[in-house]
Amino acid sequence: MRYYARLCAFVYEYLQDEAVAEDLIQDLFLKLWAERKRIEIRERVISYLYKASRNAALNHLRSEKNRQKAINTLPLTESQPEDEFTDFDEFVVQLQACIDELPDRSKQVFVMSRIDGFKLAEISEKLGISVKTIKNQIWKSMQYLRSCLKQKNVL
Amino acid sequence: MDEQRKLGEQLIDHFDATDGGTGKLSPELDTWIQSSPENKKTFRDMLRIWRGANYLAKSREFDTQSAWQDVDRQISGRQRKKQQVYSLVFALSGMAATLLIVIGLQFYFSIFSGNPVSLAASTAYGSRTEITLPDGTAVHMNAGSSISYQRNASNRQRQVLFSGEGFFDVAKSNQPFVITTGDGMKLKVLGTKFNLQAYPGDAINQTALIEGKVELQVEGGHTLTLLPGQTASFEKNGKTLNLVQSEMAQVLSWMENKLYMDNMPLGEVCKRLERWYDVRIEIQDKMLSGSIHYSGVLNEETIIDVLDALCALSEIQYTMKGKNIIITKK
Repeated sequence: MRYYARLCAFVYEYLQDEAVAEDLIQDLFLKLWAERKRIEIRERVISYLYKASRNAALNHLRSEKNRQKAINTLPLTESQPEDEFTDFDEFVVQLQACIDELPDRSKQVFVMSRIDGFKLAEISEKLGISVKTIKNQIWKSMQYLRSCLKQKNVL
Repeated sequence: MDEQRKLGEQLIDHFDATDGGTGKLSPELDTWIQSSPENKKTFRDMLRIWRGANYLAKSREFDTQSAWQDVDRQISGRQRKKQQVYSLVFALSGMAATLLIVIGLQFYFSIFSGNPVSLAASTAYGSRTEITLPDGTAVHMNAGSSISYQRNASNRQRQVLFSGEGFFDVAKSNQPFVITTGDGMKLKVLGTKFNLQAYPGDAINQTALIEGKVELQVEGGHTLTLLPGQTASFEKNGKTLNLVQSEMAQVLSWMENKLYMDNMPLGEVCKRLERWYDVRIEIQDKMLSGSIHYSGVLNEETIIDVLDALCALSEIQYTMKGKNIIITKK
């Protein structure tokens, strides 16, 4: 199930609704299980899962009552070449690995800001450092992440 | 170094304000990005990292553990249902076996009682069988079919009454093999292989010839001779015989437990499923049975698998209570 969260986040991009995203992905896994004898996967599993998730999301949007809601929120990337799913997934996985490698102090600031979703001012208050310093640390972390991701050949 | 830091601040501000989106750049930032391909690449990479982090943050909101439990629970629920169906199938095959023994005994006694050699067999809904007639002809019988065979000594014919669907591999002999269906159609062959579909409830009978020669005759005298690869359709209402297009592999697919659908209406699909799986299917909205069509191959073990597949393909859903299934619009 390690793909679950990533696929939910992926589908969320289309639907902007966490509950529906979770429903669709759980449903997808259920279907895969029920039809495991019938389905032949001729490509990398993760690539298949992303495609199936995208189809599930698009199908959901297609149903009449959701159409109106969807028109404004569809992501700009309409069609992705197949490899991009695998590349994208690899990128996200490696990004997590690189974040884990950040030096402790930078990691704390970066995670608070980018993952936990605290505002810069909130972090400044909590950690007792200036917003300017925080921005600098985030920037340094990002530079570190960039070289880390380059080393892992995903950037 | 100071310049680097200032630039970093500006970029963070930009990303923070647009949340990794594609908002308007400040003139300063824009100039910097446009000034070299290297800068452009830096900006793009950083934007990707920013968005990737957004994505990771989002994915952390989804609780894998509890989702897994949900999925697990639903799967084990489904498997229980399936097991019930399997035990039903076992019970049915037991019944079918008993039936065959009875038929066998009838056949055995008829040989020794001196009557003309005859045989009768039938298959219930949900079961199939293969039998060999006294003359050596092999017949695969699909669900819901019946056959009775008799050798008529006076006109030296092998006479068969048949309804349902069967694949006949007729043993070669100079005594004609004549099949009569209950609805006024006659087939006369010497030694051939063909598939005959003649269910009493259907509007048409279909005869598909694999090899040899078949002569079809209907009430009123109309006749048609089939050549290998050809399929004849007999329309019961108008008593007309016509050649129609069909794929032999599709015609014979029932013997491999496959149902080929070539733009087949839902009503027709359900009729076949009723026979194959011994269930009763009611389509609640009569419009549906003719308005939804399927193309493709169904190759499923249980009726639940089949229905799930059909529901996934179209805007229908079903409820099942024992052997009764009701199909409604989604």
